[in-house]
Amino acid sequence: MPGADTYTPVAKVLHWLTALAVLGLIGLGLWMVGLPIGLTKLYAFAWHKWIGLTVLTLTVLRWIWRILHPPPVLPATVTPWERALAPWVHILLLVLLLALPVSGWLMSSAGGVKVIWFGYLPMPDLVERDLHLFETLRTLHHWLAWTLMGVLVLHLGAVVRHDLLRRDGIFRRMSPFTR
Amino acid sequence: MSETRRRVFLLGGAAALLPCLSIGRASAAEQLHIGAARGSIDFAIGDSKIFRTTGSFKEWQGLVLVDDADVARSTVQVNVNTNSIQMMDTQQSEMLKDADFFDVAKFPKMTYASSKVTRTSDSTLKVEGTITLRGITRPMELMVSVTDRKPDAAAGARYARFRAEGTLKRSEFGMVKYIDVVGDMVDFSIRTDAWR
Repeated sequence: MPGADTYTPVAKVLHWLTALAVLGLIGLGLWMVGLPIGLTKLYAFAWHKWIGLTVLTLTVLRWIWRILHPPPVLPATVTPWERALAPWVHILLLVLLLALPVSGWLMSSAGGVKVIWFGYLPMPDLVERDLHLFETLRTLHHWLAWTLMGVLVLHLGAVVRHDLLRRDGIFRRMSPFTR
Repeated sequence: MSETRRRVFLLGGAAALLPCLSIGRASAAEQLHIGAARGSIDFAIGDSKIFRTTGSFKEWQGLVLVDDADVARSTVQVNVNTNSIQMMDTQQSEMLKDADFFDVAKFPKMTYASSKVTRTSDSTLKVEGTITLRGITRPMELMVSVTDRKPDAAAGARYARFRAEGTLKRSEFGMVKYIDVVGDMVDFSIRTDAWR
């Protein structure tokens, strides 16, 4: 049984799988948009969409898990303003992790490109082909991605602040190496 | 594209023929117009293992000659401006215009011409014909559904509305780039009004 001051193993697995996928998506996304058109770009976009849909699935599972298994209580060393802010940052992250793949999926549908998840599962088109809507969604997806990157910097900054500067055990709650 | 235009013509012809036959008119051929002003030609590359991508042609027009006495003698001709191809973004559109695909500089037109129109039900038709694309002519068949027929439509008004579906293999027209990954089969969907 996990201690009351750590996340459950399931929450940790979902978190770290998502973290790996999101880092991959950011790197892939920043790289692929500048590629000349060709098979490399085609596969890069395909994998970006497949991993993005995987993040969407993981995030839905995380929401459900979080509702059923509330996060551990913050330690007493956490200041009141940090205590008030932390859940909202986490919720913002989860909202972005839903909004980004959904906006990407919408964007693909509006652009007239049906996604076939990992080449096996055809996903439904969320909207009719509409190139004006596609352009709007592309802009939205772009800014959501940069917002996520900004919030992730805050998220990682908080880890550094708590674990390296204060050593108050916050990271330990989500560490894959602690129980 | 040519196939699509031809299909559109054929469909338009069929649509026009049905109402004429149903009211037993004795007149000879009647000319109807179809085109991008009141219709669309969309296509989808349909058998990819990666994704299914779609595009459209923004400039095309056609003529339908309806033979009141004999539906099978009706004809459709469609011309499509290949340079009007529109994909998801400019990069894709430009790729499809180059020599590996539509080669629009060398082949600016795609055409379709019907050879036979057959009624398959009260509101559907089969149109057989040929499509010419990149200088290569191949047979192409369109299945057409006709709705909203108005046999007494005035000049310039809509006579019928129809939708046609057809398929071709792009490899038969020399467009084989990325075929293993993107796919060979191309599905066409044409929706247009036919007007007097």
